Amino acid sequence: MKVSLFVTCLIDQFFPEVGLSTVKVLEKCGVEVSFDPRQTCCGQPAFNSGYVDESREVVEHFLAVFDDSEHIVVPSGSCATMIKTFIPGLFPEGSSKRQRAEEVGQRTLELSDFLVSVLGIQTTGARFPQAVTYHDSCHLVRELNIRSQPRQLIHGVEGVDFREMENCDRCCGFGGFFSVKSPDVSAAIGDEKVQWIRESGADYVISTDVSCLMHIDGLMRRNQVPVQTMHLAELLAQFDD
Amino acid sequence: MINTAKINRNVEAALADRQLQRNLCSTLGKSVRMRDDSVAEVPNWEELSRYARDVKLHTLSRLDHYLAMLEEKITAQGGKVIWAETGQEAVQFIVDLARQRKIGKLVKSKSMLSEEIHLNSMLGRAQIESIETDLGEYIVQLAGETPSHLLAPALHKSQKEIADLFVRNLGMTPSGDVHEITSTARRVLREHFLSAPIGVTGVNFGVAETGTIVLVENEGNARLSVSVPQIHIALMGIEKVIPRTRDLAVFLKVLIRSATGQKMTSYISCLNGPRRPEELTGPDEFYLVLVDNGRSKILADRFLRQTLSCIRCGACQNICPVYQRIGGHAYESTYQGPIGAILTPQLTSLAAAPEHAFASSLCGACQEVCPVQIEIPHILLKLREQAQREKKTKASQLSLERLVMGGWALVMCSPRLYVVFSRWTRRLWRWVGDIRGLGRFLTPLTHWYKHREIPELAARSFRELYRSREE
Amino acid sequence: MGSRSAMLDRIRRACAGNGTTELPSQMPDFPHYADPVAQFRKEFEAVGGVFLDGRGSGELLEGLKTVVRASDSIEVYWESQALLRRYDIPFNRAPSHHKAGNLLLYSCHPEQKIDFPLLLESRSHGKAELARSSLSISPARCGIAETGTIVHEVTPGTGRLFSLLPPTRLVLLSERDLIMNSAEFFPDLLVDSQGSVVTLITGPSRTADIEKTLVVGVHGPKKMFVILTS
Repeated sequence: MKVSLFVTCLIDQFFPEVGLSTVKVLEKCGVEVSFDPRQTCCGQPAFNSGYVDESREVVEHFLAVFDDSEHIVVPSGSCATMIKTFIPGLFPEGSSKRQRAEEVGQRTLELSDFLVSVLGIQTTGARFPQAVTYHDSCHLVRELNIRSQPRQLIHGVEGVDFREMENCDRCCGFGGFFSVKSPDVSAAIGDEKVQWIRESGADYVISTDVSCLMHIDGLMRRNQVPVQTMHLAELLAQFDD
Repeated sequence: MINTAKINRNVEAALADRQLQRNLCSTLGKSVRMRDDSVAEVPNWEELSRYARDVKLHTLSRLDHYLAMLEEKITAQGGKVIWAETGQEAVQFIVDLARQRKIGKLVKSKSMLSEEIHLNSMLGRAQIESIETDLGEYIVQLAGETPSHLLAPALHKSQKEIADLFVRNLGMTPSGDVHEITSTARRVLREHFLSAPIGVTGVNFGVAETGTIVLVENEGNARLSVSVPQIHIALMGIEKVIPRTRDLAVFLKVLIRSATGQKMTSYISCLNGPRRPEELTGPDEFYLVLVDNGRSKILADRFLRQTLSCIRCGACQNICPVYQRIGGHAYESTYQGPIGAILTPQLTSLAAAPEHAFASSLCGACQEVCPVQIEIPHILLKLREQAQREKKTKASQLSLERLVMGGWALVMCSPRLYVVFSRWTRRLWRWVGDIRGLGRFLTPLTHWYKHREIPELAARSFRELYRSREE
Repeated sequence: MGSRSAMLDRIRRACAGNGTTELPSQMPDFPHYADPVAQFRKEFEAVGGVFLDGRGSGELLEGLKTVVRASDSIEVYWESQALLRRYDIPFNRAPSHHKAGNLLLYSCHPEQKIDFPLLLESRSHGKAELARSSLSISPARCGIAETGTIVHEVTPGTGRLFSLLPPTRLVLLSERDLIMNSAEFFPDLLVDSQGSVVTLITGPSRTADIEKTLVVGVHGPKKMFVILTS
């Protein structure tokens, strides 16, 4: 099977190891991965702040890049939501652009969803003998209704000691520009999340979105909390090549 | 840039208020649990919720028809319907009626609409005393404050603060516990009930087919308000009409479980006009005041219209991570939390309440618990879009933020510019050495750095690493 | 009536051309119970109500005595004479008893000792009178098993204050008037009703406005009893 990787701009610039892990995991699962270097961003930052025209320009570029892709895999619940849920709405109902956007949306899958729902993967052969917990990112769980797939994959990791945290699906407080526009309340919400992470007794917090993890990690490092953040793809890539 | 400074200032104060933080923490957590447990008991919750949503959407699409039907039925029962385009008109009707009858006092049960139109302060200006009779509202009124939650107006106050208030204002013994506070309120308010000639209430549902006004409560103060005084005035937003009595079975179930986690509240009053001649007690006159006050404007947009489906259960406030941290007062509006964030700017204008739509992390927890499935996060996004569009039309407001967004779009539309830009940013990052040091002086990095460490920009981007891996 | 036509016009314009959602016709399922009496009792007791089974011979009168004693009542207000007849509650009229017109029936029990036949007098049905009373007794139009709810309606010859002002409330509920759920009730809300108010009552008055602490009896009755009759 061939898939196109949409790696997301945040991973591209800040967390390339997550992108590499995604490729490693997909290839381990027998998938042929292609990465089109013309790709940039899905348009979400502008869209979420109300700059819809600016967002649409970027979206048109995104659609042009991924128009022919059979499967588009995204290691981010948030960007997958933008593509599947919001992008079609940027074009008038009944227009050909709308139809194209809807088709691209249908072919797009978040990484864990793709691995479990399309490939039927139980395990990637990863081994990680550590205590981990999982943070449901808001878009993944409430817009895309993906709850069980990441957990199934975590349970498939050998040696992992999975500890569900209290309020695992409550927001971490990031919210894109919200994190810098309302920093105090964003951080206050995050502090509570960090508290639940600590109480789970885990040494690693896993999520499908680097945006949440970046925020959580920033808070934990500031407060010297001895817990590491890790993207799901990095966990699933804990096997020897 | 949409200025969230006002809310942010309030946030800072709210976060520093340890008493408020304690109160929010203990009460909202409990409310969320009670709602979740109660909903989990109902196997066909989703079906009930969808039914409620569809009834609302249907009614809103034929609102003129159902309002006319409601009016006809109420008139036939001997009630009178008043149409008020603005809050001012609604208030004026009450003032005129009270003056005409030489009435100087009225008792009032809980009504968010009355808060929206500032009824108490307007009546006060007309020398008419308005006594809140819901315990929470009464507490807030005694303290000279405004409600901070749809259902629990005094949620921001501790028992100790309330006891102090009662000692100061009502001469309660200082050791007063919750029961003492409650019985003091019962005694004082009972006197007001027996002496006030007008009772004002809100309306939870107005049933068009029968002209029935439905009030949902636990305390019994709404029952007293519609039973003891000679005149009952009900204030109703035009969106509160529903077509049939049978719909009540569903609405009450989803409303009450979402609101308090109860199976049923202590009292549901279904009122059909004033007392009949052969009935011994009850009001002689019944007035229903139908208030628009910005609602028909919301109705005109097919997508945003669903905002008016709200049945005021407060579940979205209880679950909202932002509301949980800052409480209701920080929003500086009648309607607070997620529903307030979408309702306030639409009832007034985006220019009047620009920051509401932005004070959210868009986490979607509100929509998940909404008993009538209002798509709150999507509405917030729509309002953000409208807010930016409105700003754009004002040329003078060409902001730095818009310029940055324009530049961002330019870069993101061109893979070549994207690569150049990322390369130069990376270079700059290295030159500066410790960008986190510089970050303190660079908005929005300043805001990020205030509470969080700044992530490292990777030495090489994914695309660079991927290419070298392929080679 | 400038506002009326202006408002309706604006609303009509706002609704126009925006499509309609179909009004749902299929009522979602509401629960049914093999033993509705047990369900009613469970829910009613869960909200702090006191349930007495008066279905057996003589149990109704025993139940009445229990409630009068528990509420420390000296004066008991009966909603109507018809109520007494309907439940075969034996009574005599006091010599001072006049016409029943706008007067309220009450029975007097010195030393809180209820005896049958009741001695009935009439009293004015005013606010002040009712505000001083301690126990009111009325029939239920029906009971809803799902939620332990009593449905009360104001009927000709009664009023809104009767069931509201006295601190203790007793409702007589016939077993045949017990229905499964509110979906069986609401379609017929006004069918049998000639009065201006129908009230669904589920337990005593309560509030949780102070730190979510439950307090009973803030405005309405503090205690609520139901006697189930056959």
